[in-house]
Amino acid sequence: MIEFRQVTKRFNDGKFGLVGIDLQIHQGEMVFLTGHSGAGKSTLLNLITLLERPTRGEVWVDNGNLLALSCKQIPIYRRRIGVIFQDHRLLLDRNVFDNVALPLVISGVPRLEIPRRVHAALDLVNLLDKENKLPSSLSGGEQQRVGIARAVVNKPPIILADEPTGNLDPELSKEIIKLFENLNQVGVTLLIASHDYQLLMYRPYRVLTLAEGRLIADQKGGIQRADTQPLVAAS
Amino acid sequence: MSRKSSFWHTTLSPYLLEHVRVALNSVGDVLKNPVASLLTILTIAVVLLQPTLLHIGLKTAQSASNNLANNYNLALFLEPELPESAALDLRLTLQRRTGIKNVDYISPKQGLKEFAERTGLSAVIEKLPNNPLPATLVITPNTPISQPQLLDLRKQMLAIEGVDSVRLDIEWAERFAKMVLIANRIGLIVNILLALAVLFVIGNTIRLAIENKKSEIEISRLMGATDPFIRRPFLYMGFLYGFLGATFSWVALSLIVAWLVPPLRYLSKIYNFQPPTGLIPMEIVFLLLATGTAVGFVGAWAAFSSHLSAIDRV
Repeated sequence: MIEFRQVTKRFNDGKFGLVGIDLQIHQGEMVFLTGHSGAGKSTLLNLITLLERPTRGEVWVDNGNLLALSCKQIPIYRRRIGVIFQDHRLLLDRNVFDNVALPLVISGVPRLEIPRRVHAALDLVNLLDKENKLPSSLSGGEQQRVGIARAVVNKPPIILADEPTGNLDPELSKEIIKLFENLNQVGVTLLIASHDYQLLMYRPYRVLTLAEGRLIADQKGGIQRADTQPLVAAS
Repeated sequence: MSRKSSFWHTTLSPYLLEHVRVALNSVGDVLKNPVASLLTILTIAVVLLQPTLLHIGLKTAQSASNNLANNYNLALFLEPELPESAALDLRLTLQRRTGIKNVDYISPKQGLKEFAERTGLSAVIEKLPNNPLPATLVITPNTPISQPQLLDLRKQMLAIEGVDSVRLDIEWAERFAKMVLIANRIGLIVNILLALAVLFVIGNTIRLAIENKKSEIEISRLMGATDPFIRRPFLYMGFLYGFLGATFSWVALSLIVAWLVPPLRYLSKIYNFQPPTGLIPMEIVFLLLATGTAVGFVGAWAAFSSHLSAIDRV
């Protein structure tokens, strides 16, 4: 589903965001991406959403080379990826319904169909009763769930999440992960960037570890103690 | 409510519906900051007012100038000793000459009466011991007539016995026509500069609007919004600002013209030109609204193109 082939990203200031990344994520996988801040997690996600272009190498999504996409095709491509942010990035002057409806409006979904699909997405995150509220009146956990509803409302085959639990306490974080598991069960491919090691420990997920732009570990079945991960493994 | 909306949804095509949605949203955005929006609209109105006023002023001046050009009269002041019968004979002689359309005779008495009426100095004039005015023949030449021909005619008239002097207002009229021509050209330059000013005002307003919606634009982009989708509300906004500015300008213009018409009417009687009516001609209103909206649209487009590429472009 997502494939990186020898991807290197060098920024304009000469620093390397990613170095020689090779990885493959299959359809229906739920994969975590960890590493210290600045390790390249966000850069990796940005390459998939095409906010960045690789300096070298190729990124393939759904058997298509992203290099081959023209400027006009990029918006259409992006509609098939749901994105979730740490700071949820909801539009603060719109209510919950309008926020969740945004991807549908952008994709040109017929007006009459929008309420049904928004309600389905809100039902999934258990916020059906808050559709008329403004995001500022919601708790942090609720705001993040609105963000998730917005990401799934278009039924994208791929969901990318950048530190989705970064601002939440462990209890709420577990709730969010449970939501992701539910999505994964219906076949959605998820790539979740997180340095929340507590969350990943002893869980059966595949975990990719980045350090200084390099992929230093690709483990199945969770990690034992991420913070004591021997960095020598990279060399 | 739902029945009503489903009616619209089935009647309008999705594309049209999307435009209606965006247009209404833009109206909402303009109304959301009423003070700032009003200031922008008034600025545009004031800027648009100047070229329109100039245009109307020039049109009036031009009609006056054309009238003047076709109203060259030669006033032949006759010698005071010339008897009235000789003056009338001369009038008949001149009337038969080619190149002369009409000759009017104004006796000294009649001349004094007209002078008294025009100046309101009848009380003073009554006290005069005798009439100081000479008898006058007013010659209207056939039009069109060129300036050299006029000067030539003047020379011929001066040579006639009994004619004391000849007055010709040609220089003033010529100068006025030239001034109108220069004003016309200056007006064109001023119009272009003011159109640029409107462009900048709207461009800057749209730039601020884009800045305010930066996060919305970024998030929409990431969700697969196309450039036309993102651009649309700002184009509608520019369109709206331009249109409302032009409309306000129209209202202000009507008030100003209504205020100017009475003195102009008085002036038009003296100088014999077509006085302006209190109504703004439809073609000027149309031109004003069309220019306003077009400049608003173009300003928004320019602001979007230059500003959004700065926000993010992959």
